[in-house]
Amino acid sequence: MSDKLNRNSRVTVTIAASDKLAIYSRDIVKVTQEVGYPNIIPGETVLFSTVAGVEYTSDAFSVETIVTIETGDYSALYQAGTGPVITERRGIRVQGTPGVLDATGTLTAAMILSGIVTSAAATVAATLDTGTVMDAALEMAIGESFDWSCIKVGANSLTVTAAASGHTIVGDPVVVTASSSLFRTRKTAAATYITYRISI
Amino acid sequence: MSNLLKRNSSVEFTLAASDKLAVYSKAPANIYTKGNYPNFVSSTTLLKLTEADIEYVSSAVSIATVVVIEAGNQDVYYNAGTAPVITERRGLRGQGAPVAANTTGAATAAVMISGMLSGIITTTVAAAVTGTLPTFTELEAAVELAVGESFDWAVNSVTGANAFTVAASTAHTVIGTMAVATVTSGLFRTRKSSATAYVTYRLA
Repeated sequence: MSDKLNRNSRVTVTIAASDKLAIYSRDIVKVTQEVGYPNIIPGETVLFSTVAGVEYTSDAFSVETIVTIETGDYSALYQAGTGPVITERRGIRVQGTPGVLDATGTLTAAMILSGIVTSAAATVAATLDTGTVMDAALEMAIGESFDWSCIKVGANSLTVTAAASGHTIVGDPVVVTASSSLFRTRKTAAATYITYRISI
Repeated sequence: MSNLLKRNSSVEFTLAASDKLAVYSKAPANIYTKGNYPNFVSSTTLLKLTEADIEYVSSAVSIATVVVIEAGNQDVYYNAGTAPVITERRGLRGQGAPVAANTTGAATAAVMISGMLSGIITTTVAAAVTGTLPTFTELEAAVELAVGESFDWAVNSVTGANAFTVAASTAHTVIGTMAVATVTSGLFRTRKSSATAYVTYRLA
């Protein structure tokens, strides 16, 4: 995750030797370096100004360097390291250990919220959690959604099945053997969800 | 990318003529316009009290207008422009030019890293192509990921008669069916699963 700097503000950071600095903003960002010499008041030298809307990555700094980042009229994301990238612009997301459903049972909110559900050998009927259970499991507003994938690594298929109440499915619910499918779960009303098949 | 206003704080800025303002928060937020008149103390007028969880987009302002946004008990995203949207709520991400890997020889670690981080690898599989994933060490040098973070990328097989197969490498394993058939697309997620390993999953 990158650091975020609000618009019209500044931050001073120390870049370790051999590290680079990556910055992105929709406005120009100025990066200055603090310089100091004996018996002279410390000053600042402009290292570079970024181009609005273009991700900038500096060369590696040869020595540990104190730099100040100043934003313009838009917030900026920045990150330092040997291979810094603005992860937010690459869709970086949390991905913990995937959920596992190897036998017929409940495809719980926790499993699908993990982002990936894997399933081995058996034929599996995977019943979605009810809308009421979903509401209790996560703070979603009406109109919000999240995507998740099901990977069938073994023989046979997995069938995503509607819950007894408040959680339906639209599209082909069958994930065939040795394949992956993408789903989107959307909250349409209080205690009411629809899961869509959005890709094979 | 939208601007972020922290909870229980405010920001003042000028909305250009013809621009609109988009605001979203999980708590109501106040939006004021600010007026300055000769010999009068400057004053604010409530333009909109947004509803929690509802993205608000103002009408276009006819002239440059100073606005103040006051956040409630939740952070606020806001964006200004002729067609502003809260991009964070639409899953927007950067997407530069995709990277081509048309032969096994061309699918070097550097090309695979560049393509994965760009988001799309294209391929014309005149012959079968194996795209070997970068090793843990190679990927670590290219991206600063924490354990438990991940990113998605796709292989887009545009022509040809063969498959593009994503292959594991040292400390970088795979789960799922990794062959992308010709003239289809495959979606993958690469996850840093520990301090010494990555796993790439076939998502779709």
